[in-house]
Amino acid sequence: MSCNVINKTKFLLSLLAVLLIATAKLASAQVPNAAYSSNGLINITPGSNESQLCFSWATLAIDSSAFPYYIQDDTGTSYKGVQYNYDLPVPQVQIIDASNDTGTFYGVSIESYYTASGVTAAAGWYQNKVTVSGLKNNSSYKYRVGYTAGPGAGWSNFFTFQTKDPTSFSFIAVGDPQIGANTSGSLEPPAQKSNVQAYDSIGWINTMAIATQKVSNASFMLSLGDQIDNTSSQAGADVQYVAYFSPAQMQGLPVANIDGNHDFGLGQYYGYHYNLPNLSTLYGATQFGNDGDYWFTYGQALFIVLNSNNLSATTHDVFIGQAIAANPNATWKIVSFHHALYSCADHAFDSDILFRRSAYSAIFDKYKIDVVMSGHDHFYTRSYQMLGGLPVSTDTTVHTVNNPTGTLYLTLNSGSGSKFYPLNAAYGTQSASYAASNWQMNQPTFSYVTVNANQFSIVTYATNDTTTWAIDNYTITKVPGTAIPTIAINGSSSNVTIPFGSMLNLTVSVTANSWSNVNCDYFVYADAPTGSRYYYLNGNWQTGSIVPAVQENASNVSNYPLLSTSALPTGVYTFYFTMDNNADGIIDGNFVTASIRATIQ
Amino acid sequence: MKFLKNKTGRLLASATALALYFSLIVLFYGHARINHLYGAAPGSYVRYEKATVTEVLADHLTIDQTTGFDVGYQSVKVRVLTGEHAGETMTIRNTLNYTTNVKARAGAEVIVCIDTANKNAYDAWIYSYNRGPYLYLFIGLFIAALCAIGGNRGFKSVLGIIFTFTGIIFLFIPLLYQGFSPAWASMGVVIITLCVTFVLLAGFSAKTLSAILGSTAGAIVSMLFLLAALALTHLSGFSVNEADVLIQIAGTTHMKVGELLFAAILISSLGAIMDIAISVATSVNEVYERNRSLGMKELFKSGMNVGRDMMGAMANTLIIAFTGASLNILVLLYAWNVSYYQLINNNMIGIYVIQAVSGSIAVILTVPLVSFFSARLIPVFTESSARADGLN
Repeated sequence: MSCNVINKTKFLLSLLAVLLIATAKLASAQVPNAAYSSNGLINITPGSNESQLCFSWATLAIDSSAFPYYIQDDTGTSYKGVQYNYDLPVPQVQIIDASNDTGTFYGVSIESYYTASGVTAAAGWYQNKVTVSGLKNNSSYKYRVGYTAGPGAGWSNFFTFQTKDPTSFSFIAVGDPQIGANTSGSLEPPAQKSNVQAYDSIGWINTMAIATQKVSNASFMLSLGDQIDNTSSQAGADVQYVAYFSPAQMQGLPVANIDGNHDFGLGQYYGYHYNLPNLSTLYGATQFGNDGDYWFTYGQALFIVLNSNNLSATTHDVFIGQAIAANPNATWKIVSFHHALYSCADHAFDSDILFRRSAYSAIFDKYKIDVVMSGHDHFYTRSYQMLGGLPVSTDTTVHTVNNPTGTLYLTLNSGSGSKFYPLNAAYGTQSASYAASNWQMNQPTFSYVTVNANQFSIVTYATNDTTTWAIDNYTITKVPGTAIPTIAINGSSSNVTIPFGSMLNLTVSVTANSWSNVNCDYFVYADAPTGSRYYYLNGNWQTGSIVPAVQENASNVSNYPLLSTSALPTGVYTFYFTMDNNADGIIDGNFVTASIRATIQ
Repeated sequence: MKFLKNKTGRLLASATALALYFSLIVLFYGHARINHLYGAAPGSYVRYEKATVTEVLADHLTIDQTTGFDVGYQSVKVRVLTGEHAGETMTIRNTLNYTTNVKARAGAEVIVCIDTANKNAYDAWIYSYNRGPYLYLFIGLFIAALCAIGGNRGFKSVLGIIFTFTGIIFLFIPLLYQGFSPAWASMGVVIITLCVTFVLLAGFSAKTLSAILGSTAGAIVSMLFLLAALALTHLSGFSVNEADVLIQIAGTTHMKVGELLFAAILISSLGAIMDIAISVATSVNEVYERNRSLGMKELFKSGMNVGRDMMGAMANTLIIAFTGASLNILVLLYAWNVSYYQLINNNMIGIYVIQAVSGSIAVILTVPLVSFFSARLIPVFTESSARADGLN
């Protein structure tokens, strides 16, 4: 043979060898499953505490007859009654600690199975749920989801997430993304009118980009219901769910989602998209079963998420009681649900809202809930501190409160900008009796909430394509260990009505706590029906500038009498007892106030 | 129409009509689905029951400075009278604020809301005073007065009112739920109500027929005006406050929310149209009875004369009725000193104006239409019945 032929043969043989090796390599490589092309609705929900995360994703059913399912409720009773085939491949999440590149596989919790209505089982979808625990704080992780074996074997792309510091953390809150809701068409450019969902997606992607940039250290996001709009067909809702999960941040940020009235419109379909921590099948759940109340903690904050589509207040009462009993040391109790109680727009006078306003507020008073966050009304409203259905104080200039009584109610505007409501026409240029701050300028909004042991602070931003600006802020401070002043009339610390001519005995008490032996200002003052404010000093009540009743080291005091009279004219009197731990003659620093109202008639 | 001349014929016609009416109700109401916008797990529900306040244990109330209401809370004992907890006495907290304000006194009859999560977890709160008995009393007084003073006709009017109400609740609204056009359904309700009410009031006679034809024609003209008005002003069922909830119901029940406003306005003007139609028809009939020699032109003129006096009053009736209904809005608008362009273009103002005007236009146009029909038909039917009876 000539050299050429040998060379050619060598060349061809080596080419063949390369090809064979390449093919072998390709065959053994992990091939991404085509089902994940649209991110497979991969999403994360905060886990039961900061060391856990709940993953959920959807995959196409391979062969329905080979994938029957078995679901148990809280009491171990099974329903649907179909056997779970343990020979089937098991959905898994692979978490890799970015710091040391070690990978851990997390196995199954329960998976659910569903099909779109009217579609054959073979073309249906699975929801895969995996709960991951043992995560470290302040760490970087990457993960992917998939099946390790079986006909559906394959992995998604890698995504990354970061865990944060639970002792001082922040989260993003948004109202009603409601992808697909922009039906009015009045706000969108004509070119996008025909593709409502696309326009809402653009707004949503934009808000997510800006919000995650602003709240760069967010531990998670809270979405207050109505993530999608379509209530009449699963196929229609599918497109909107894909759009809702499409911002790149959604696979790297845990999101606590809520069942809004629009999500509820398709019943069980809502629950197939999320893996929720401590989900109740009994309380808050409706006839659809997979949409009950759930809770999670993060640091010292307890987040209780209700399904307000279950109108009954008692069912949520029981659940909140259980959640608090399971977390007795939580400093902050934050309740979220979709249908805002104290809002000022389209839904302010709906009969179901009025029902919840009466029934739910009583429960939040009972459990001394700090903050309630809701959506539904597509309009930003911050209420006063509310107790018994009434504002504790109607001072709109207050943006910081210390150890407040009552509950703060927040209604958030649409996070994607898909729909905005104007102020309810019934209010005109005024506002509701319970609204401390209102805002609606038809821009998407998000809220930046920071929480630590002593402080809960929320700043809400509006956003357009490029910039954000703050529209409202509010801070609640709880300083544990501060002294507790109390004030009573005729032995009772609740507001009273006294017949004209009867005795009014005003007494004050103090529990010193950590202010023991700290030099404090004590102020006692009263607002009279005349509108004047009187300061107590040495047995007398005088008008004029503020003056402390006494300045001394704090100590426990019990029922110290200040006023005993039957001669007060008719009218409404409000008495205040304020202490602060900086004895300088004015109310400043850490101050605590007790107040009581007496109506003389 | 010959069979309508004798009693048997009329009874048969009425019976057939009633049978048809009831079968329509069964057909549509039976399929009506009440759309659950809220859900509940099995064993979890909210019920409203009658109860008596047996004792007020404690009172923590003050007078609110702004409203004069008692606000705060009471601790009360109530004994439930109806439902699953009948006979049970519960101690509950009764909150008084701006949203709910029922001041409990011992012996008061109230309605309690009993909210049940499961067999062992339920809670109750006072929802309202028990108004039902009073409302029935007032309705009873109304019916008694109508019968006492109106006699036989008064009683027949009551039957007419009952018919109208059952028609709207059991036939009209189920039709809307099932996706029928509210515009046509309301037109149908209007015509059926006209026929039945007039027949009840005035029997099978020429004046009844004239009134029916005239008011139907008036309603049709009003409908055309209304369609144009709503289209030009871009108002529809989506312009009202409840639109968002209606849209959700529409999503699952095919209800045409946009046309609901049209139906509402058409039905609201029905009363006035009926009133003027029967008045004109009866007057023309009276005039003809007194003077059989009058021709079509004279009868028409008489009808118009009667109608002219009435239409001013009727239009006023409508406008005053809507003013009363919109009193709250008017008070607020006065207080806010709203800018002119904002005021005139407010959705509710637009709806009220169109409602008042289209109703008034229907009333005004019904007059010449009924006069025309009466002038034509009453002589013809009186003649033919006279010939049939052998009189000439």
